[in-house]
Order: sequence, then C-alpha cells, then structure tokens
Amino acid sequence: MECGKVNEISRCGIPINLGVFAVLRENLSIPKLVRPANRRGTVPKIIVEIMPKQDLLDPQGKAVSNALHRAGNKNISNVRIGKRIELHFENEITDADLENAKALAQSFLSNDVIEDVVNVFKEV
Amino acid sequence: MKIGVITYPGTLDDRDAQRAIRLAGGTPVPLWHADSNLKKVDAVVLPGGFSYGDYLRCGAIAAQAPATQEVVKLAAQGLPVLGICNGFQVLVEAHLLPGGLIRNEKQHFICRDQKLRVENNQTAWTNLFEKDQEITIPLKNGEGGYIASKETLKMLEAENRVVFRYLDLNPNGSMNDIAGLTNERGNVLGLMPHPEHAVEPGFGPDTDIAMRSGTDGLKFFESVLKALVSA
Repeated sequence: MECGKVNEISRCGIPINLGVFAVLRENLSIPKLVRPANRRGTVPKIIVEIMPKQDLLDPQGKAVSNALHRAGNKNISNVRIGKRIELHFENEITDADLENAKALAQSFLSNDVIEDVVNVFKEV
Repeated sequence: MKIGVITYPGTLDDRDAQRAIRLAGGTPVPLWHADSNLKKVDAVVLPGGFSYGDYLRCGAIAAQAPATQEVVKLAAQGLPVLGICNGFQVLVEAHLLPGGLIRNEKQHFICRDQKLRVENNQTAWTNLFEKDQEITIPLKNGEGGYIASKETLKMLEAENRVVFRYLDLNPNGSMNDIAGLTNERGNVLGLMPHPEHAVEPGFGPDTDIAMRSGTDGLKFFESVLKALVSA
C-alpha cells in the first residue's frame, strides 16, 4: 500500500477505519448541553450576600476600580467586591430553613472580624 | 513525648513539622483531619499550607474538621497547640485565638527570612527564648495581615498576649506589627512565620556566622517538650 491516509496511520501500528472519524464528528455535534435543573431556575434557594467590612482594604475591588479608571470610567469612584452564596434546597424552604441559613451565614459562611452579612433571603 | 501534626487536604508543611519535632527530640504523630481520634498526643501542631485551597476563607473549612473540633475541646483543658501560617488561620477561624487574617497590605505573596522579637517567653512554645530575644525564621504568606478590633488589640497588649512582633519591617500590614499571639492560658500559639523551616544547620535562614545556619525555630519544639516534661 502506497497511497492515502489509511496507510499513513496504519504504519504506526494502529489500524483505523477513517469512517470512525466521521461517526465521532457527528456524535460530537449532536448533544446539546442541558442545564441541570438544580443549577438555576426552579430549585428553591436561599441567597446569602457577604461584603468585606467597610473600613477594610478590599484588594480585589481596588484592582478592578483602577482598571475601570484606566478604561475611562472616571465617574465610578470605587469598587468593592463581595460574595453571593446560593444554598439550594430539595424541598420548599421553611421559616426554620431561613433561620438556620441566617445562623450559618453569621457563624460559618462569614467571619465577623473581616466581613458583614449584608442580606439573607429566599429567592422566588 | 508524642506531638501530633494534623494533615488537611491542601496542607503543605506537615512533613517539615514532623521533622522539626523529631530533631527537637519528640515523637511526631501524623493525624488526619477527618479523624477525631487525636491518638493521645501530648501536643498538636497545625501546619502551614493551603487547606481546602483557601476556599471560603483561609482556614475556615479546616476549622470545621473533626480533628480541629477535638483540638478545640482539648485546648480548653490545656493541650499545647501551635498553629503555623495556615494553622494560625485555622486557630483564628476556630475561635481559639481572636482577630482575623487578611490579604497582605501590598497584595503580594511574601517569602523572606523574617526577624522577630520574642515579646512573651511564658508560653508552652516559647519558654526557652529570652524575653525580647531577636530571632529569624522564614515567612511565606499571601494572607498574613493580622487585624482585630481596637478593643481586642488593647486587651491583647494589656494581657501580654502578643508573643512575636515583626522587626525591621512589617511584611504584611499586620496591626501593631503582630506576628504571633497566644490565648489567655498560654497553651495555644498562632504565628504566621514558619519555625519548622529553621531547625537544621544548612537548611535555615542565613546568620552572621554562616549561610543557612539559622536554627531559631528549633526552640519552639524544644520549649513544648520542656513544658510537657515539667507539667
């Protein structure tokens, strides 16, 4: 065998039917990524919002603020960056769940020496 | 004397800490974060690294680990505990020490041989130092800026609980130049610099005598052995 790509490949010791590639390509193009239902949308959620304390330096915010200034956004005077934490629930959220989330927000999800819990709320 | 060293996912310096304990004359006992059995150790070291990739906040997730919770319980009964760097952050997040640690003032990760002054030589981990002794051990951190409320700082200073202060320069913007502090009882010590990296001639910081000959860190581990023997 002298000619063609089949020969090229099989010389490496891997006999390959080029038809496989066509099948592969077709398979790759078919599946559409389905967004899992528990990521966004209908799942019951509690949102916890946390910000670095006002009087502390927020290095991320400062770097972004500087970049925005360099890009000409002179009227943005400062940027501060905090966290949004989503707690997803299997079932409908109860008042007890919300109370528990508020307690967790204060104890584990934030550190009151360096951060403030700004908001804990049910997303509808 | 058995000294436990807890390994969390992402811990880096557990082996170095174990080696330091061995060089000081103790028996290192590896402990696993998920195991609340501390194997009847006489003291515990929380080593440096990046437990849980510093997710949420440095040390926050490690502070919830079964082994850490057991340490919290036993520390109240007087178990000597040393938190180095990330271990210091874990101690703060576990509320064994007050205050918090934030990103370095200049936002750079810093790695240098750091001069410190021993402010308190009455703790389980510093009793072999002289008061006001100047020592040099490596420092390497990105989030080592110590902060606390004005009231907390005042209390720490009044109770002589600042154990180490940065000398010559403050590398990370820590309030009052605080490099390490202890609890009320003096059995729990947390500090950002790494004593376990200055325990063996040839591998420590430079000194006036010879390159890499600094072994100031060894005294931490010898101190706790002495404290345990006399306890």
